[in-house]
Amino acid sequence: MAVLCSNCAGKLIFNPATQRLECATCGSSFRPEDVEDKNADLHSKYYDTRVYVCSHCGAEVITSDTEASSFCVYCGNPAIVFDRISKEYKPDGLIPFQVTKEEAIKNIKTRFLKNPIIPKEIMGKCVPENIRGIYVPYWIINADYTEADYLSGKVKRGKHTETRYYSRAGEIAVKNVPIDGSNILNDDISRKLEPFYLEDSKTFDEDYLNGFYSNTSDMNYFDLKKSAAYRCHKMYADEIVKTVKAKDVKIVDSIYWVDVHDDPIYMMFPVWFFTFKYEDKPYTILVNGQSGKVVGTMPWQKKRVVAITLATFILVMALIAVIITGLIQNWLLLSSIFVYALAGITVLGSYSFTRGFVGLKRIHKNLRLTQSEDIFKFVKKRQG
Amino acid sequence: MDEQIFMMYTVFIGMLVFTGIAITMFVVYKILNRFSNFGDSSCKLDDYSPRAIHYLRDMDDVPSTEKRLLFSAYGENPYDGRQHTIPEQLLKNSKMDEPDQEME
Ligand SMILES: [Zn+2]
Ligand SMILES: [Zn+2]
Repeated sequence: MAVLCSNCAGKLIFNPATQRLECATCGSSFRPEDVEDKNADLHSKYYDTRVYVCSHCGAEVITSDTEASSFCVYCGNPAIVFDRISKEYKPDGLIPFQVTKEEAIKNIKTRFLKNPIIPKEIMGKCVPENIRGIYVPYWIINADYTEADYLSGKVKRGKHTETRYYSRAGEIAVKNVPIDGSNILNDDISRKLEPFYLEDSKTFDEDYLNGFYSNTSDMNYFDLKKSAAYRCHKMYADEIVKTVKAKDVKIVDSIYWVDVHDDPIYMMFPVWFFTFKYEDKPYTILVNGQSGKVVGTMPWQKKRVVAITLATFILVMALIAVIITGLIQNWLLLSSIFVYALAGITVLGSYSFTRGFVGLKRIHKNLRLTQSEDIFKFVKKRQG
Repeated sequence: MDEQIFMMYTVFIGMLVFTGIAITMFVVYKILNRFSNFGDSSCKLDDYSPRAIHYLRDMDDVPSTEKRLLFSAYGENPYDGRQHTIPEQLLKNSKMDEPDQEME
């Protein structure tokens, strides 16, 4: 539980800027290694935590503070209640916050500058009260991985394109892969927070948690293996697709196996959560508390995007019209230049169509992921 | 004859409009990606592995029978039987799962 200032018994808070525990009351500061909790057993596998539960979404957060923030980090509802004091296993280590709350806010706010599409009202919500620092549990694993893939691709043959099939199987050993250890945070989002640099990690010391929230890993061994397999598959699939010399390469079917080595390392990584509501929907933008990387897809002003789309369309059509009339006026209608120009425009069209379509689909998916219903899996959690 | 020219004309215009829509889509995607879609990247395989993938099978332009052969060759867990010690935190969580399953 929270350690108090040895000079005045005030509350100590870990400051990422100085990497020291600071007392707001008397201004003293201490190195986390030097502060000792007289009640705590250093050699114990456990540490005491205060667990708060959101009665709206069921999420649990841990804080050393006697008062948790008034609203839920995950769903944004003011339904946080103290649930219990709990003994938890100490993680093996953690990466202390290095990005301060002010820096996290600055990193988010710079995204609004010279930005024509995201609503400025969200910037007004980017205030300290809406941003919480959470130590997210991770497992660092070493593993062996095997995957077999059956792929398809399109190959040009004279004037036709043909679909060809490809067969691949391979194995690889991976090292120090971080696996998101909480079931509540969507792995498709937490993956984007990487990289985390393990060089900065410290042996676990609960003093680092002062002033922040944390979660303990709520997964079992089976969940860990499933997440590890999925994480490896995502990386492996990106590579394997590149080995096929064809267009429009797709994995038709795949099978994969993972063997997580002994002693995965239990860690806590620092993440800032910026939670806000826009048009009645909750969103969460994440900031890596070590590197400052901002992750998430901001909602946009629909009217602006529609206007931009129309303007672009008119401009593009005008350009095409200019080119075509130019060719016609110069009596090139039946010449080969005209045919080439047409062919060029068609190729450009189909290229833009595929790239644009795939891209827009991805952004739409990312926007959904940023919306809290998708970023967090709200399982009503077990009690006790 | 007139009808044929009309048809050609329509196809021609249609093609240009399709191209226009396609390019617009691409541009809008680029704009949204630049201004709203943040941090959309994750680490690659070589960030976590000093070595490249070791290929056990690497065949191009395969006949349709290959799919069955491939998956029958790799359909079984190659790591089956490997024993591991499981961290206490993970063991604790699987114990806590049990009452949940009873309720269902
Ligand atoms: Zn003090
Ligand atoms: Zn909640």
